[in-house]
Amino acid sequence: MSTAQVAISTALRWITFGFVVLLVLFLFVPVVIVVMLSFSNATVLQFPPDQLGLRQYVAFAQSPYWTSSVVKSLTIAFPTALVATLVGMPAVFAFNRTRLPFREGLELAGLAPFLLPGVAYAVALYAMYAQFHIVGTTVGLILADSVIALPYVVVIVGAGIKRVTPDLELVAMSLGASRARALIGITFRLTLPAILAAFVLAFLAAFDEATFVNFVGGPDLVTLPKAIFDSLRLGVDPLITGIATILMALTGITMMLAVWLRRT
Amino acid sequence: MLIFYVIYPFIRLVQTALGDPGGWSNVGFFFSNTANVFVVQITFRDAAIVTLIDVVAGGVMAWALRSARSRLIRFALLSAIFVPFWMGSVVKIYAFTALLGRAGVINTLLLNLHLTKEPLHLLYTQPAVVAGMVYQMLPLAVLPMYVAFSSIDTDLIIAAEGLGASRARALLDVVLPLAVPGIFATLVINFVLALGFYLTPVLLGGLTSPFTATLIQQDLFAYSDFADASIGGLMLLAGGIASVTLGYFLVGKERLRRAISA
Repeated sequence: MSTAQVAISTALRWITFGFVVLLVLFLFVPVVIVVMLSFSNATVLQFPPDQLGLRQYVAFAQSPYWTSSVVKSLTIAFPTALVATLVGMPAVFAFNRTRLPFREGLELAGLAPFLLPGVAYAVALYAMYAQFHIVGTTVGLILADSVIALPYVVVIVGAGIKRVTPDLELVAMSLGASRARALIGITFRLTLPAILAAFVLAFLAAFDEATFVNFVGGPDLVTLPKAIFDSLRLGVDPLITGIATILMALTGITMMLAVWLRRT
Repeated sequence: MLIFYVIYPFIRLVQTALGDPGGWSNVGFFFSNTANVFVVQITFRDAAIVTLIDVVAGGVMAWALRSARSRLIRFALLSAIFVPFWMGSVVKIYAFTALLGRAGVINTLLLNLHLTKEPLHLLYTQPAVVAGMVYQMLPLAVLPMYVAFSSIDTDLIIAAEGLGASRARALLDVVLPLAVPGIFATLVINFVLALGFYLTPVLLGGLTSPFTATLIQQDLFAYSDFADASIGGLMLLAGGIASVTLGYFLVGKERLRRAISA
């Protein structure tokens, strides 16, 4: 290579490096801003915060509106994760361990909520819910969220089960175990960490879900994301930074738990 | 359950779109309103812009992650990709509102540094929506491309350089062609996701922003115009299905699945 080429090559490398640094900053700035602002004592959003304190956290804990929205979110997210796991898990077992007809198509349908534009799906569900008059019911929202959480289960449990060879089941059966016993005793037990991880991620997805609740939740089902959404339409309430920071910490811990589960 | 929850809603969507008040003429009516046409165009255009920015930026980041040797750089990149996942989707939008608002962080900084005399109008603009969407999807673009890049043998670069190619040329002529299927799968998935954004256009674009999501929201909750909203939804759905099908034929099912799973 000539010196000119070497110079161009080095320059390009530095430009790329600078670009990547900018991208990393771009990804970090919103997180840092929210956490920083959460420790300001101001009642309006101001940067840089001139008085530090825990006002946002106290205001949040003292507001029945906000705390009840957290409770609401939990009562939606837990059953949702349960339904998604209970539906998704047998489905994945069937996709991978039987000669079920149309299983490719069914698997695709399980991933569909990921592959379809969210708003379109939300309007479609809304049209259906309006027909059956179940807009604004808790059960309705749980079922809608379950469909959204389902792909997480299909993908994660699917990846987990592919690491367990069917030969193990055959060995168990040749040693006298029944088909069901082999499936539960071997495959289910070995995929259990993946199933738990899927449950955790489905829970997080349901807890964070904010689009569908706007459509099928009606005006009275106020989950935490919905409460933040409503408040954002009126302006920026700094109180949100407090709950956002707590959530971030909890989500971070839970996600690392899920990653750890998938590794074991 | 799957059939009931995945297929039936869309049948209803088509029914509402083509039902009362005018059947097929609903579609004609939707498109006779130039504002609607404009909105659908803007939605597809901006989804394409967001996808392009994300795939280019994400590709560079994914390659940086693939080729980084220092642990510190790897850690910085990985945490930049994963930490945004900890923030809820609404919280991300909240952060952007706090950054871009009239009395927001950026305006305060600019005013304090005397770079502008009065606050800039940043929030409730199309670039604000694009920035918010880029932010939310960038990690989703990096991960599948990282997986795709991981299967590329870096010795190929050394071989190309040994044969006299510059680093840039080795990347462009040897690595890029191998990465194309993975990049394309990412492109398809990101485009579909970008079409489906609801919260970001409504909150960062403001109530009158020209996005199909906002149009649907207005139609449903302000005018109770089910047919109009459904047609808006159908447009997005058609766009989504078209791009997934295109992706299916160009790069195959397996690559798309891998891009989703990542």
